[in-house]
Amino acid sequence: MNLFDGMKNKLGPFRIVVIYAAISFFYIYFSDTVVGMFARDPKVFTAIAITKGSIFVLVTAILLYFLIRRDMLTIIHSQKAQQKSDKLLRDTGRTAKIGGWEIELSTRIIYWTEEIYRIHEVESGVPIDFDMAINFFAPESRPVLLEAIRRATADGAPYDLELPLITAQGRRLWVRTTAQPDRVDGRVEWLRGTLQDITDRKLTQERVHKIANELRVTLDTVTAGISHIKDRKIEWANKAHSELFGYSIGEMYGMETSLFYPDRASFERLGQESNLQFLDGKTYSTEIEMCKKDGTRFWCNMTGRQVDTAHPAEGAIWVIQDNTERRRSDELLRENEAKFRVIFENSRDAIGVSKKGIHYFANPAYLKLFGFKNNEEIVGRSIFDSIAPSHHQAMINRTELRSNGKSVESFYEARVMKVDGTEFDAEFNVSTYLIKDEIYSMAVIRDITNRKQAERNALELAVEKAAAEVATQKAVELALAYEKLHKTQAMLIQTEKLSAIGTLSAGVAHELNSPLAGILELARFYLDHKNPGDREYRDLKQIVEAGEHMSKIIKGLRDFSRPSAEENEKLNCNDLIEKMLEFSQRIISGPDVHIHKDFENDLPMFKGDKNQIQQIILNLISNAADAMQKNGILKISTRKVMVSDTRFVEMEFKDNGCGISKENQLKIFDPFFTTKEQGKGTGLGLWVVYSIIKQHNGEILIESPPVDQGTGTLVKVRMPAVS
Amino acid sequence: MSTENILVVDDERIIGTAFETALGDKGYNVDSVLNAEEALIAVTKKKYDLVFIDKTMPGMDGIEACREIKKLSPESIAVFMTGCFDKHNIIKEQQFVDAGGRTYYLYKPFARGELLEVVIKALSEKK
Repeated sequence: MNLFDGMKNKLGPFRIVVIYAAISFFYIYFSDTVVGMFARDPKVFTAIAITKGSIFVLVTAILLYFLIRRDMLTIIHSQKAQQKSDKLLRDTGRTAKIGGWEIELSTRIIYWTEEIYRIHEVESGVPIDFDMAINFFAPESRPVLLEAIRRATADGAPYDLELPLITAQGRRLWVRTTAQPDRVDGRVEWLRGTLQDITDRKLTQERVHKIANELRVTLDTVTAGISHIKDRKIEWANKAHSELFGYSIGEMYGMETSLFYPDRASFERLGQESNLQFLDGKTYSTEIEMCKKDGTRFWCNMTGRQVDTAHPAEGAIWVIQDNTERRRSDELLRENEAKFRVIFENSRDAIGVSKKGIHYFANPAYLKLFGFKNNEEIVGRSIFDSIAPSHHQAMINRTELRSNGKSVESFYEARVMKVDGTEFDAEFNVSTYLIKDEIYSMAVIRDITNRKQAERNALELAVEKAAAEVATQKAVELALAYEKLHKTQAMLIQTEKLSAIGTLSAGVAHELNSPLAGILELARFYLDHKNPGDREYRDLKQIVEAGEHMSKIIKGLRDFSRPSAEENEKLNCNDLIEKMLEFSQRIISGPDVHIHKDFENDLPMFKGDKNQIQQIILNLISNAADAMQKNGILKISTRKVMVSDTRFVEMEFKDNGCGISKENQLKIFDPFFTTKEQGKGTGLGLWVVYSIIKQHNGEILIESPPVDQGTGTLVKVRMPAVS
Repeated sequence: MSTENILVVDDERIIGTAFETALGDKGYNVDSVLNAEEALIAVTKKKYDLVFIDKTMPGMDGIEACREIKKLSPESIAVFMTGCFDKHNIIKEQQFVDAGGRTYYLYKPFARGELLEVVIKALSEKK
């Protein structure tokens, strides 16, 4: 093959034929001559000539075969190569979505490759003319294209455009179309070019553009300074970064970052630390003081991360946040915390915080107040351990109300209990607060034992003061009261005397009365037998008058002669009054007095001296009778009453008589006080009544006139009832 | 002229005297004794229409005397008499009435004309 290749390369087909003819001629001519010299025998000669001819034909045929085969193979091979190449071109075109076209300008005939048909979504082979091809482009892009074609045609200027195109199916695409004018004799005869569907690329470009734009806006908007640092120089930095450090964005491009650090050491340290982190593919973060263009220092948080860990040389993105404010508020918080802790720890008020009724923490004052040694001893303990058992219920009620969302007084006093069980009074000021959905109660507790004492003292002082004021204001009344006291004292002394006299007279009254009765009776008898003109008449009259007066005195004194209170028995006042009314017919003299009885049945009994009580009843009845003139109505009623938890039997005597004047009302119980005419009353009746009632722990009330009528007197006697 | 017999039982002699003088003048036969014992003897000897008995006497008291006299002389009217207007005596009066006597609330010293009134009233009631 090398031989043929070499021949083919060195000799043309014509030469090969000439060479072949020459060689054949010489072979035929000389071989026969040579053979004729050796083979004289014609038969042999003929045989040799035939053999020689056959060999020649054979060799020639072989040569021919190889030559023809070689060419045939070459043709087949090149045809295959062509096909392969075409396919490759087509596939490439298909993959790249690129096709070729040409226009013969003189005829405006257009030739499209298959791919261009596909891009246009037109069936392959459909004849296309110039106008059709132009109309596939979007209307807004047609003028641009036509202008480019005009210039290519006129000036031979190639073009390369990216234009929108609308396919036969109506899809909008982006295509890149290029053209190369083909000149013939200086005139452009042909335009050839490519058309590529670049929609995907275009969309990607748009997307990238959009993302880039968004990123730019983001970078411009964020308050954190963001920069790309490569080899410790700024590649780019955002607006916030520029504002943070005071350099313009332009200034910062390519700037050495060491300028941002207050000193070299800090710059070096950050470099080393961050590189260590970056080696492990980690993000580096630190809090560092940095320096502005004007030299101001500020604290910031710096976070950095390599752009591509595989390529450290690509540098890192850094985010810087000024935390001056946060540091300041942290500092403030710490300061406040310390301040409040000092207050909390040193407060003399006990402060305790609890959660769901359990001690959470407490200050030293609290621990001391309740006798705990340390906080550990109290944490976890129920708050009820510190409340006196007598106040537990009140505390439970309060807690329940609070948990039900009801408002509860936050300021109250309660009895609390130390760890050793000692109780004392304390004042609570409780507030609740919510932290992360949990309710905490804070109680400020004060021992008010001393305050209570002080309050008591103050109260006493106030009372004294008030008393002094009252004393000043009511000096006159006090003086009067004092006088009254004196009078009462005197009266009491007198009473004692009278009591003695009474006792004494009780024994002698009878003795005195009998002779007096005789004297009076006889004196009257003899007086009746004298005429007023007689000398004895005047004397006898005076004896009678003196005797009558004596008898009254004796009668009065006799009322004091009371048996001792030892003779107490259970009495029913209804019965007593009934009996007294029977026997007092003589006292209630005159037909004009009517007695109305209104007795309550089933009255309780009361204890007393029957005689004395009867005397009270009689005295009151006779007083009432004396006070009434005509149409006298004495209403006597009885009932049971409750007066300040004590059960009393009440007897009421209400008359419509002359009543008691206001000034006399104060004196009616005084001994020897009487409004009756001289010689008629002893002035001892009500005093006796009063004394007896007091001796029985009873009460007497006098109303004159009674509230429900214009005149008269109401007397109420109350005796303590017995069960 | 009245002929009724009246006995006065009182340890005070002047009472008896006063009754005798005052009532005797009105025509009554009045005897007087100084104690209950004498009275009991007197009522057995003579029939008395009225017997005035003093509440308080040495020995037998008025109430007891009344009871005894009423036993001996049931038809006699025993009248209660006492030393003074003494409200305690109401009880004694009651007891006296329970003992068969009567009370005309005759308290010493008597009011003017009271004694005669009582005598007339008591005697009229007896009839």
